Amino acid sequence: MRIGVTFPHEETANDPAAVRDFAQAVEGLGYDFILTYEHVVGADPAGRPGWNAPFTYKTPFHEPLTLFAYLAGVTQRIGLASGIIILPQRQTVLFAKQAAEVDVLSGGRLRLGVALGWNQVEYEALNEDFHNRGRRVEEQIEVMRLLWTQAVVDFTGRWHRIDRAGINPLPVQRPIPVWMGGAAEAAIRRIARVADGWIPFIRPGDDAAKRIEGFRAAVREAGRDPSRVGVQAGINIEGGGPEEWRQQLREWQALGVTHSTVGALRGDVGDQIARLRALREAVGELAT
Amino acid sequence: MKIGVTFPQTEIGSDPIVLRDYAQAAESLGYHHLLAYDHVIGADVSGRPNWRGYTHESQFHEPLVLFAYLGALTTTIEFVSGVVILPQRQTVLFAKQAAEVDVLTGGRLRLAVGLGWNAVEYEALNEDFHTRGRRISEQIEVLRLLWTQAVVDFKGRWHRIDRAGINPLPVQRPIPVWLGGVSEVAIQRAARVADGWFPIFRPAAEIRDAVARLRDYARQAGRDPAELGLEVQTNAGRGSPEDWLADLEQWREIGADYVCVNTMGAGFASPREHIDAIRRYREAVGELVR
Repeated sequence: MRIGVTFPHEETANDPAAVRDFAQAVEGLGYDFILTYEHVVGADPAGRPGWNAPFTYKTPFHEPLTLFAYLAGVTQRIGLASGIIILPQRQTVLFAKQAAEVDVLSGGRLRLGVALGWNQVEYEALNEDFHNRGRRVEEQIEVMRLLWTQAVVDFTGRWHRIDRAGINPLPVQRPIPVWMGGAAEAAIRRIARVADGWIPFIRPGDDAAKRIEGFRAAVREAGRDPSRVGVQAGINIEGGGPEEWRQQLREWQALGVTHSTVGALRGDVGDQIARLRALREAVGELAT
Repeated sequence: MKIGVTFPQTEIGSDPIVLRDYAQAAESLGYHHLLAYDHVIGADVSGRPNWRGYTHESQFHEPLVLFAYLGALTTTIEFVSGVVILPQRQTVLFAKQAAEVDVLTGGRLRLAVGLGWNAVEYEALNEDFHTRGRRISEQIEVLRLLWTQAVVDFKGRWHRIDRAGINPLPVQRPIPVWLGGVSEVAIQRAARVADGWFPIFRPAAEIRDAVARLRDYARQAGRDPAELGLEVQTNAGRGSPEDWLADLEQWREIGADYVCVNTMGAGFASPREHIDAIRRYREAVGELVR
């Protein structure tokens, strides 16, 4: 099982040295990947009485693709994973181009997690349709995979037209892996059909076994081999100690989870690195 | 006058170590900035007999992602897009990514933007090729709001931001935005809204006349023409040191603040030759530009 860490946005938002220090420290500790989520804009909740989202304009976020390019420059080996990027609010072809560029600059270290998001304000600001995002994402992934594997693409879809053109350079990974987040029934079926892996946002103690088994059934139903579709799950080290942490990882191993991610931690970058060191020492042989 | 290099991206390949070496060499040679062109996608010319310009075989590194990478590996050199085809990109995402690059590089980003010429690229990016000239002014207005205000409430003809903002804001508030383009409309637009004008590869006599008009237009728009920068390009891949010096002297006299040195199209067979070329140029013109 691969173990990654969630990149701390708030603590590093205006501090490139902290960005570099965190990335180099977790790479040095032997973690397999850095995971980052995103929002392009945040809404002002004033005058929005029903607003109960966890993020507002006051919450800083790095932009994942440019952040990963920076991290590619200061690290050697660690994987760069988005979990997730809100794909249907971005232009497919530019996203394919920028992802390919990150993959080239990092020597093939990019793994994309994408999903639909929930924030209409963000879709409106980006001038994309919030309501058809579930249907569009599937065509987006189809187009990206064509762009990442063919020098010239000729594609006419419902939402895309590429008239005999291509990106150059192509990525190192042809195609770059695309994982998907989502929990609704329609999302599970879609992910089972098209994704390289599933990011379900589950933690031990949830009904994890049932949900993972349900996902695998959907993968089989889609005519695919579940052993070739990854599953990424979270681990929580804010409480407990080494034994609890090992227990979480053992549970995920038993369920066939392929990637575990340490959730966002509290405290400054130094505190976070200290706890990630402790986790690494505690779980050593469980990670491969 | 500040001298930069044009990143030789159609000829330098895609080895990240080579890209790093080039940027570090340019920085250590004392170049002020590194400028990169932009094309997101290239058209296949088979079946397009009248096609002129770049094709799917022309390699382009995506400028914002490239600058973030090179920003991690350099300390002082400025990064300039020249030009990013702005109307084929989403304004708000571009604002966010530019702000991120500005933060990660400690405020080393300058953006030159333009309209482009490639309808195939606009179609692939699902943006309207025909309104691009009118849209770009509103895009620049939105970019500057997003880079200077934590919350933006904007209703324009092509943009709606409903009380939302990017976070973090860039180091430079706002990031400088220069405009390319050499048509009369483009010059007028640059005079009205840009921080500088960025005409790509035009003869000096033409630029000299155009700069005079640019300054008139700026005065007519109520701006101080001295606020408007001028960046021009020169070739270091051919000619002698005497030619280079005469060329620079001419640009200085015309009023260029920045000159960017191009080494593409000179037949160089390796990244090493591009680096050697910018070293020779720097040694030849060094005294003039310090």
